[in-house]
Amino acid sequence: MTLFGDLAFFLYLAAICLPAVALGLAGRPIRWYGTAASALTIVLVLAPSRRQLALLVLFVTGQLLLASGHAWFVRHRGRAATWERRAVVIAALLPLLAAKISGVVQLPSVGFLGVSYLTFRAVQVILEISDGLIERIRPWHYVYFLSFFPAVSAGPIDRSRRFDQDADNPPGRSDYTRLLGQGLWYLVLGAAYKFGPAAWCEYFLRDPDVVGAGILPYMYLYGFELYFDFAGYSLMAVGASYVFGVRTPLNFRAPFVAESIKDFWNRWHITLSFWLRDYLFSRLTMAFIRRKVFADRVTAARVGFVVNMAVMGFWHGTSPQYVFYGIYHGVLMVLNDVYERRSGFHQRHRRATWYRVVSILVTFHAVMFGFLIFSGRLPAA
Amino acid sequence: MPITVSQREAVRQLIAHTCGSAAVLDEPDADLTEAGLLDSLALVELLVGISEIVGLDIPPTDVDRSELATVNLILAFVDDRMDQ
Repeated sequence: MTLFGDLAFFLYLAAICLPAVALGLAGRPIRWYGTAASALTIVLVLAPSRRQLALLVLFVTGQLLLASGHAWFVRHRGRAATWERRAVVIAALLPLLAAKISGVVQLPSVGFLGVSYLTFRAVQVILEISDGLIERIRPWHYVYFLSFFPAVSAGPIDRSRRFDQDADNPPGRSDYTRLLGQGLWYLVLGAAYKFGPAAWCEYFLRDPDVVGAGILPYMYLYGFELYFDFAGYSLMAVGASYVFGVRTPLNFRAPFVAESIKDFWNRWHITLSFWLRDYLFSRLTMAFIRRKVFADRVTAARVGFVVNMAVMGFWHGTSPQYVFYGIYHGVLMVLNDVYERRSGFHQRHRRATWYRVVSILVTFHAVMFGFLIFSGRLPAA
Repeated sequence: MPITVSQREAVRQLIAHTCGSAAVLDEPDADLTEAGLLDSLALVELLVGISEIVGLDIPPTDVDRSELATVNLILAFVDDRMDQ
């Protein structure tokens, strides 16, 4: 059984959704049932790989202890101990680093289903404890947040305080009915994306005639396959979340009509992009500005862009194509920023329809070329 | 502790500097995000600036961007945080 991937899963999903729907329509909390359903789903999905299941359980337990310990420390000793904050963040990141590095040095993999997504969710909690935004860890609430099955393997990367709001406050019958309707629609739409256009693109990508026809057809097909596959998966994950009364944020918003690269990252893999913006870019740039590391703030932000996007690339994997992909987008963000700040032509025409259409076309092709790097099919990568 | 008159003026100047235009102060209810004047860097500059002016450390995730969409909202936000 594969999450959102085969008929067995969808039949299983229909069955485990029924009690959630009954609870939702009765205006009762779904949290405890949702926790049990998530545990069962993870056990069934990972049944063929006990190693991964063991690693995931170890991960959740370890992160729970770490977050609880950190919250205790901050409550008793305050937020002044920089060494403690850094040590905890590094410890929380270790599973992700170990999973990525074990791939590079050919050690037995310590990766498991969703490690990249889950680590970022755990680090969010740690950072918000450091910020004083989260005071205490409620163990079962934390476990539910990390292991919530619709989003466990490939996001969207929700935020714990937002997630808890939904899980703690059942929406009531009429709101739940609306949420359920929307959720079912997202499930259908997501399945249509994944098993329609994404599957067709994948079929053509396996055709030697298409693959041999040159790099351009491959680039477009690969880009569209990536979009429909991932956006479809994300829609289904959001749809299933809604059925469980959790408004997991959407991950895509018409990315191919973006008018600039900055605009693209507000539309593509939104929960990852916003996670990096809030927990890496903003903090790094604030530190640069406060410590006056660079002569001016704009330079600080541009260095921030490149580091941010390079980390985004590394987050996808350690193969050169992912790292190049990240750096490529970092450089595009800087060029985008320079152009928007310096170009009088841009300032004069940015609202004109023709200019916006051209901007969309240029952005689309820059993005597609990025996907070609990501695909690993370019000789240099 | 309420915000002083000089701090308030410093925050107004900070907003004008961050948005790159003093004209934004003439329309204190205009949406800065919609006008493309308040991007990720501008938000960071605002938070660093506010912490320098009034000594409040505000983590980026403690702010909902809609709370800082206009000049008046930013001033109200600082007022509100100073009162807490």
